[in-house]
Amino acid sequence: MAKQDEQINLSPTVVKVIDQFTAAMRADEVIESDAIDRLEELLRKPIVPKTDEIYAALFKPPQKS
Amino acid sequence: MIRIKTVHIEEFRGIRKLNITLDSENLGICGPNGTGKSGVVDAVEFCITGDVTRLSGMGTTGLSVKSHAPHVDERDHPENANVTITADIPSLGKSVKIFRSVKFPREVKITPDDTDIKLVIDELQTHPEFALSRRQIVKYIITPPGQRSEDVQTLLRLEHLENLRKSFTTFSNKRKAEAKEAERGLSRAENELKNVFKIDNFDLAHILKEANKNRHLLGLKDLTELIKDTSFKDGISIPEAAEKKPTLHKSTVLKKLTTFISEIKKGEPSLLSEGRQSAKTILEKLNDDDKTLILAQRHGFIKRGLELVIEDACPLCDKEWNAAILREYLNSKILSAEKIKNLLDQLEEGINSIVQSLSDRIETIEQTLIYCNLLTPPIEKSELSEYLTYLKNSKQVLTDFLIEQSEPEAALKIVSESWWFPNTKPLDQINECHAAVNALPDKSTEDEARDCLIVAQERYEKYRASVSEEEKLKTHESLAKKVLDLYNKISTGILEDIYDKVAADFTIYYRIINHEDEDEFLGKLISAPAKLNFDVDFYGRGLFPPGAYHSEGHQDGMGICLYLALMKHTLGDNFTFALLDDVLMSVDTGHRREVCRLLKSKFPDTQFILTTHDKVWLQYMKTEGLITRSLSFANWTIDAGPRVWDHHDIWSEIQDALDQENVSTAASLLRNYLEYTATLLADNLRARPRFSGDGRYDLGDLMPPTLKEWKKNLEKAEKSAAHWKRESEKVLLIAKRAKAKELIARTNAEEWSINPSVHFNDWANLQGSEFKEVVVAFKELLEHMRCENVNCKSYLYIQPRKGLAQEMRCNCGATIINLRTKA
Repeated sequence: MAKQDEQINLSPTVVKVIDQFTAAMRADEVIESDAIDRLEELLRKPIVPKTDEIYAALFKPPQKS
Repeated sequence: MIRIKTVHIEEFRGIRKLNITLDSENLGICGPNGTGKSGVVDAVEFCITGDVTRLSGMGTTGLSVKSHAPHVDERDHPENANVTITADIPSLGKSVKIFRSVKFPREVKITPDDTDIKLVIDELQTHPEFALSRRQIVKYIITPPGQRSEDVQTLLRLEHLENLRKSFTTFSNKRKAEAKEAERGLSRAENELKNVFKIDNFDLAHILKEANKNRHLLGLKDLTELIKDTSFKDGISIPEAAEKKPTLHKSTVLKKLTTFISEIKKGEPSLLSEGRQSAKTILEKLNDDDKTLILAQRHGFIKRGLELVIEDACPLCDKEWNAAILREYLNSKILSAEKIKNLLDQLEEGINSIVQSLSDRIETIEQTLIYCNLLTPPIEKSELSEYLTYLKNSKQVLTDFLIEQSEPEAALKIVSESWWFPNTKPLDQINECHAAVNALPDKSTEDEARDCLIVAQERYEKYRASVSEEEKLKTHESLAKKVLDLYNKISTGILEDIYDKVAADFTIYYRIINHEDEDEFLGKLISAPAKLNFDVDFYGRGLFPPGAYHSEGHQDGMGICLYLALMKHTLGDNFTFALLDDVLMSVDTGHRREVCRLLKSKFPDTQFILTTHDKVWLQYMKTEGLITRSLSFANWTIDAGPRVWDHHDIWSEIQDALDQENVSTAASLLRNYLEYTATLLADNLRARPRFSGDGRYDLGDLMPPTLKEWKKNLEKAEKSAAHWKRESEKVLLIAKRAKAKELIARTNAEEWSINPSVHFNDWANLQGSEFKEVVVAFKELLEHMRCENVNCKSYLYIQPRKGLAQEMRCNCGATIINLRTKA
């Protein structure tokens, strides 16, 4: 539900691109699925992610306490 | 979207007070330039969005809504300048009243205070494109592909995709720069390690051999291989103090400092100075022409696309293409960018070599600073530290340029300066350090060997870390590029689908308005990252940019068609309202009817407010049924604003004036109306009034030759019917010509030039009953020249517009009178 709420400001075309883009990444075995999950969460927000956020999503898994 | 019922304007732009009733219908506004008709467009735009494009777009520096939207006499009282709109919202089945004052342009008062209605108005505010002015019309047509891509994506609310692309591109460029820096770091670590053992080439086997030589001298066991956990100093007993504070390995440090000072003295290497000069020349070029950079950035994408063409399909979207044609097409695109891309590659190479030299120098200075600290007493090094900061900043600027590839000015400043010679003070500090190291006591061979192994251990660890860092950052670089390439492929494919649909609608619309000569017309929108190419067919000779061969009138027609196609795609059923401010003016006269038909047939649910300064255009809109209501603006004065004439029913208005025995007003109304109509009829019937250089014709210039042409064509029609032996038609035409003669005679129009007593200038002096006869005569005459179908009622016109007249016809086709006497 939270995901849907966040997508309110994204146009259907943008959502379509994100859907296909993340699906294409998942089809690539080199990219870790956790990294894709984190990136997808970022992309579905109405704000364009900064490069540092993309970096953190792809390369820096959050520290587990 | 909304459909406007009424507009009330007060003290806004050139208007003092004006009420307009639209009743959700289309409205045409006509008037010469400077009569305030665009003020209505501005007022509607302001009321809905709080903005006036005319006061806030490009070239409006110093203008603002708050200061310049009020009437000039009310400029200090913006609270008096306001606009109220009442409208229907078809999607909600509700009505709304919208009020906005110039004093608080960001505050809109919506009645009723309903959430759904507010959402609709909020949505409207994000679509200021509902208003299109003449100067905006070519926005999507002749702008460069990069700008068009941004404009179109903004209109389609797809700018988010472009911003994502930019973010992924910067992300990828940063990883590339980091990987390059890691490569340089590894190279430096290798150099440092080999220098400890005074060997020329980096070779781990050689290093192992040299390390074991030193270990032999100390009676230590040989190392068998160099692996991750290898310790050169394994077995050496190191005093506790030495562990805490590293000591200087005199011969290594001395050699390093001597080489450093010698390099400075030799002067800037020619490779570096040539590299700086080359980079400077290219950066100056980029700085002078920002388009060059954009062009260069496209090159890689097109080139990659070209490599991927291996079958008869686009490698990005799988759309069918002949491979040879696609290659040829891509090659033509690449040619212009090729030269620039080579230049940029050359620049990147040059800057990389400068960055490499800077990195080496930074490393050396950092090492020297460490030596300064380790000496007893330490050497003063503040000036050297400042020099280090300067070098690091310079490197950062150049690295940033390689990532962003924008704003070449800062990079230009760096490559223009030579940093090779430090200033006197830092150089003195380097010399002082060298002298202090030189003065250190020489050590025994065993001590030298021990120090060598200790320093080697430190540098080996650094080398291992550099190897690991380089591997990691190369992996990051590769992954970032993969992510960027995937994103570009997916987004471009989806955008192409959208653009194909928009281009298909655009093609249909353009064919409608140019069906006579461009029935096979085709338009294509071709998307690629950061650009949107727009090519159109030119009479079957191929696809070219719109500005290549088409006239400006045709380009304006394309502008309208592309705008409509984009709006349809963006808003779909919600495209219920549009303001077209004088945008129809530059469409050539031969295609104006078709534009009216296009709007009427393809956008029956859209309410258009159209302004024009051409009376004939206004009449076209009426006769084509595009508008039922119109306003004429005239005689604008700064104190009173425009004089506005609502001529939805001219005959009732004239009758009203006559009922009030106001012959003067009635005569003026009739004369104005006949001037409008005569202009249209002269155009319809291809009449030949005496030519006027300034293009101005009054009623006396236009009406007599027009009526003469009318009779002449009826006579031709009679002959044609006789020729083709169509007796019943001939009888009807004879009767129609006789009626024409009678009606024209009753108007006295043919006698205006020879009998001053019946001239229209004297209408105002007639008695009411006398003038009423004139009115009835013209009303019947004009009715006689229209199609008899009550749903059409258009004035008849000659087809084709040029060349031999073939027929006289109406819009609906119910009346078609043959004029030909030959097959």
